[in-house]
Amino acid sequence: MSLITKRDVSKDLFQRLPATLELVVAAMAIAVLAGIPLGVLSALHKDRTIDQLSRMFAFAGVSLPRFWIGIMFQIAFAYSLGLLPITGRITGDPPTHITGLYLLDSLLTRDFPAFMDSFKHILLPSITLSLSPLAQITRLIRASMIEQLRKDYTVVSRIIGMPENLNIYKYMLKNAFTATLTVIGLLFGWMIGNAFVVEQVFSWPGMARYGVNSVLRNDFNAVVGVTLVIGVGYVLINFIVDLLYGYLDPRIRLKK
Amino acid sequence: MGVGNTILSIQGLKVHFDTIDGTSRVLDDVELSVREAEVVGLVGETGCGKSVTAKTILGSLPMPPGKILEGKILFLKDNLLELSREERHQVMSRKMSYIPQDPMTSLNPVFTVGEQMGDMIRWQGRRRIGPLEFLRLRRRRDNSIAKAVELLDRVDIPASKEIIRRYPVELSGGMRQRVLIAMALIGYPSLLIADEPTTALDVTIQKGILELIEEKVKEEKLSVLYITHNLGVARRLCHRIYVMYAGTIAETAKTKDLLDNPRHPYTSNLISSIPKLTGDEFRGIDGRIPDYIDPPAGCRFHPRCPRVMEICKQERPELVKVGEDRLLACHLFSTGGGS
Amino acid sequence: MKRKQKGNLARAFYRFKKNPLSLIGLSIILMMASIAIFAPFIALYPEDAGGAVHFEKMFQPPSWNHPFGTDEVGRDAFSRVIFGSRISLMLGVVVLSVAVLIGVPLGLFAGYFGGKVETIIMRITDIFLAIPPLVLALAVTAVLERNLQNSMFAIAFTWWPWYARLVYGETLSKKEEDFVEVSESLGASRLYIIFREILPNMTSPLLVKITLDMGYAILVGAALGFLGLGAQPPTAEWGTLVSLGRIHLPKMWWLSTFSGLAIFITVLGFNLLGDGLRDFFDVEVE
Repeated sequence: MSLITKRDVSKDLFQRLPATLELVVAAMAIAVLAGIPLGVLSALHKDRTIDQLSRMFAFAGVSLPRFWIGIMFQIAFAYSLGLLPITGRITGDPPTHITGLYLLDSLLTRDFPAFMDSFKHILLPSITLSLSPLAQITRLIRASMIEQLRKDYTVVSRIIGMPENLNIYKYMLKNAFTATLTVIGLLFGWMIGNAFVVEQVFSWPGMARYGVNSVLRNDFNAVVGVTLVIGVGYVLINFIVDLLYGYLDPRIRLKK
Repeated sequence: MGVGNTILSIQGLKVHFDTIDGTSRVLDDVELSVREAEVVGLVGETGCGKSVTAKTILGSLPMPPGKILEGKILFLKDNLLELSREERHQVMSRKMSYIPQDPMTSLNPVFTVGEQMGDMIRWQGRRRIGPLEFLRLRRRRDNSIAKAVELLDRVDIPASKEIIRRYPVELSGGMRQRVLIAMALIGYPSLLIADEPTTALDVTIQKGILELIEEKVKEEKLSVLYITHNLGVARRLCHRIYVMYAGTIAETAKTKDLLDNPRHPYTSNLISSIPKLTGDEFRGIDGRIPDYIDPPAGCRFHPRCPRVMEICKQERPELVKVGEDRLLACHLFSTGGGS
Repeated sequence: MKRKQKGNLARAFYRFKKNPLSLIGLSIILMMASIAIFAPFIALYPEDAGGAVHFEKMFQPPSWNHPFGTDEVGRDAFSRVIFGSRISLMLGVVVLSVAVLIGVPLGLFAGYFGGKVETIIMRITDIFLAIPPLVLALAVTAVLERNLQNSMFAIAFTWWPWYARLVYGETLSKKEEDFVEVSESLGASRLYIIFREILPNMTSPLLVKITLDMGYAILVGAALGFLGLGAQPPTAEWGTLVSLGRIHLPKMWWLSTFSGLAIFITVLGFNLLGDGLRDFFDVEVE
């Protein structure tokens, strides 16, 4: 029971959960889809231009205060160039509610204007949230791939005649990815915990922002509720990561 | 043994390695040859340059710190060192193959044996595959798996159909080594370079692997360059042996000739260091391998040689022919002294 | 025939020099530290860092007099940012000191003594580790009064488990080593062994982690400030400055921009240096 809004805390929470979920998933997708190729390229062209660039980018990514870069993005893209909306999740009417995830719902109901609208709105916040994980994933994949390049089985495969790109993208990558998986799980949790700053800046109607506002208004029950949900989500993710780990790395599966 | 044409010939190979501490002169005028259906042993202590030689032949020596100064590596009519990467890949990828030293780390742990062998069978020798081609060809799986099973049978692995579906972690060292041999034989190579393949295995398993290699040499006219520090194994398997010391060839002869009548002091030492009973390990020779960055002048073995002469400290002995299939690099015999 | 090999230290310096980024990181930190220490002399209008108001100079864009412009009550933004460095750096130092002072001994004890001690300490640590730092910090600030000290306390509170865990792992691996056995058989007191024998052997990973964490702690502190949970106005804290400036976007862009930039550069400095140290010590740190 919320002290401020006098409504059921869980209702408030779950109403806002999909928003945060969508943001976090989008940010994670960006981080992974951009981070892995970048990491692989950096490893393959170690110490050359692209590696140096990605290295600088990685340092920037982890050092940038999310709230600040979010604001900078707003200034650049929204205010000055007017390309993207400044805040909020959608300008027009939201698509028919199926899952609460606007992007998904609008696709499912073939509501393309709504899809474009949601997409434009989610672009800046998800990029902002994805920067730090992106940097970390890139570095991690790079380090793992470099390690893979030195592994006996990589060298042996290559000598016996395995085509190079197959060796890289199938064999080495699978090994490298397994190591990164734990971190991705951790990052997911981190993202959930850190989404509120981004939500604040972009006025994203998510659970995290609700959590912060509750803290600001000393709404203890709500705070407890939010913390619980985050905690549970965290545990769930770790569990899923463990499962995936076992699936991907047969050594773990078979040792049990 | 059926001795035929020379398929591999290394002449005057000099390789340097740039390190923080200076330039390491790892290989200094290496001469070596291998003929059809012949097993040639390359024997020497750890650190004498055997692996570097193998890597140079295979082209897997990292070239920025490594540098080939001079020499030729003639393989089936081409000088590998003069070919471009593409050409070299073409020539080598199916005709020359390799068995690594440590079977425990030489197979990718997250893919099944069948997967790895299948991919190798389908695409061995190609430099790159397009993604579409990859997806399309994978549909037609049956052929490759059947071939893989056949290959496993060829290396005497029991229950080959089962093994195909297993991960490397489920197999013993000996099994993994057999899988690696099977993979090496996929393209029916002319030359197999075996880098101490039994060092990491138990003696009893070793026997099986050696027998397997012998079998293949006979059946398929395979040539093998067998690298080892174990004279006992070399004696068993090889037709001819090259004794290597500190990046140079000390002596080479037919196995029987070499072991019954060694001429180079280093060779004699190696032989006498073998414990009489098992023929397995060295007991060691006084001294250590030289510093490659600042190697001894003259003959590289002279600081440890029991029969060193003045000339040994100044002039490097040339490798000269002293008999049929027999070469020697030692001042003792060029000047006609001692035996 | 024995040539002198380059010593290990020489090799390490060779590596460090090869890495210009770590030198940049070091210079940034030194610069920031000097700014913080000499703030009153560097700031153009030191009194503006506190509660002074000059309504006549409201919202001036950057100029020679006011390199970062002025804020909503006419204070010089540059001076406020300069003084903000003191708060953030102090926060980093305090948080890390507390975290280390609590976490390191706990980790050592858990690793060395084992048994019940180990179980209790590590269980508690695990619970704390399961929750993302910011969330915990938030939760803690929720129950306490909102000011700078409490936010520092909250962050330190969430930070120590990481050190406990790191030190615990290192202790486990070190305690089996010979030098420990030797000390034990010589009858050294257990505290001595822990603090004078085992601990010095893990300085490398500790040092790297501390350096990197300084940056992250400052980031968290600024985030709390941004949300209004840390230092309260009129104190000039970087995060607070950013949030105050945000209301006046986009016209008064300078208010948020420079304070945030300061955070960025400082944290970057720590990250660069930490990374360089990591290469220097050739160490794996989580």
